[in-house]
Amino acid sequence: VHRWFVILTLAGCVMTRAPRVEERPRWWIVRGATFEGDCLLAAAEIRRSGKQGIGVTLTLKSRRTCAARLVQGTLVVGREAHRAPPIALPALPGRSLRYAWLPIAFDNNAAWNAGARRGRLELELELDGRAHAWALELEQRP
Amino acid sequence: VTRAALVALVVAGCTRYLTVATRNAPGDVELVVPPARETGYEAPADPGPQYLVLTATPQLGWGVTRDGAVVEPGLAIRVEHRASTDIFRGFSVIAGGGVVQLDEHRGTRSGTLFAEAAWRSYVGAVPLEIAGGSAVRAGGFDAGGQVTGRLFLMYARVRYLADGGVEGWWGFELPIPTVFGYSR
Repeated sequence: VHRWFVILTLAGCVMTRAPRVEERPRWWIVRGATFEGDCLLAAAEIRRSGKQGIGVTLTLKSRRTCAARLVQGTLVVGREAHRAPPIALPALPGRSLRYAWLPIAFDNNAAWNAGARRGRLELELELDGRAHAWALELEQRP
Repeated sequence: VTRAALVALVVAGCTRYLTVATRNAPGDVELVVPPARETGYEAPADPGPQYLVLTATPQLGWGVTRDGAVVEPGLAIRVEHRASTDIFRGFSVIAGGGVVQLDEHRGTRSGTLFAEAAWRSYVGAVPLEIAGGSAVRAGGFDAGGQVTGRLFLMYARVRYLADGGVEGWWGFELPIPTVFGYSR
């Protein structure tokens, strides 16, 4: 009875609306946005975030000529792990500044609707033949 | 203008209840082509809204039945989903019925329940709706079908019941829509 009373009382209203662009959620890096290796300083920035996934720009600064390779990238959201496509990092001769685009496609709309608000981006790097791990903590919110 | 006036009427006095729906909230992004600039966040594209509209519709109808002229106050509930801002055009499902049938000579008897599928569109600038479905009279069980046409706040209906035969109805109704908007 109470529920029907509330429904009747509120009848004739616009109860909810779709969010405006600035109100829509996006993934943010909350921890681990930078990485420091032997020959490389790197920073990650989420440039695009939406239903289809995220796009990350990696800013790569070499201290000296550095053979950098992204062995594997994995985005873990809830119980799902989404593999990043294999990308070739740019050559870093001497003290270089280069950028790399890392798109990770997944059904972020379903993840958002399922309540996934936290994620973890795990990057496996190889610098001059040595393996390094770079983990970034992510959060999805407006 | 009619649409804007109706929306203003619907929204009037209840904007304090308006909240942002979080379902499907992420925007649309393109991931294959890298951004043109090297840094900075690029806002997603707006996928646009969709709407679930629940409409309570008090009705008052006058009918000609086998037993003579009757008056039937009633209530219908309409459910419709719209994937665009044109929320007045499209399919909907309606369920309702007369609360009671008032007969000047025979007193009162139970009203007729119905369920309809409806299509609403425009003929020129005039909103028209055609609906069809089944009808059941609970008191002394009787069942059949009906076709309803709606124009603004008026409706006309032809109903056939197995025992009651053909009935003709016309009346007025007052739609009170409750709109739930959320992202596509």
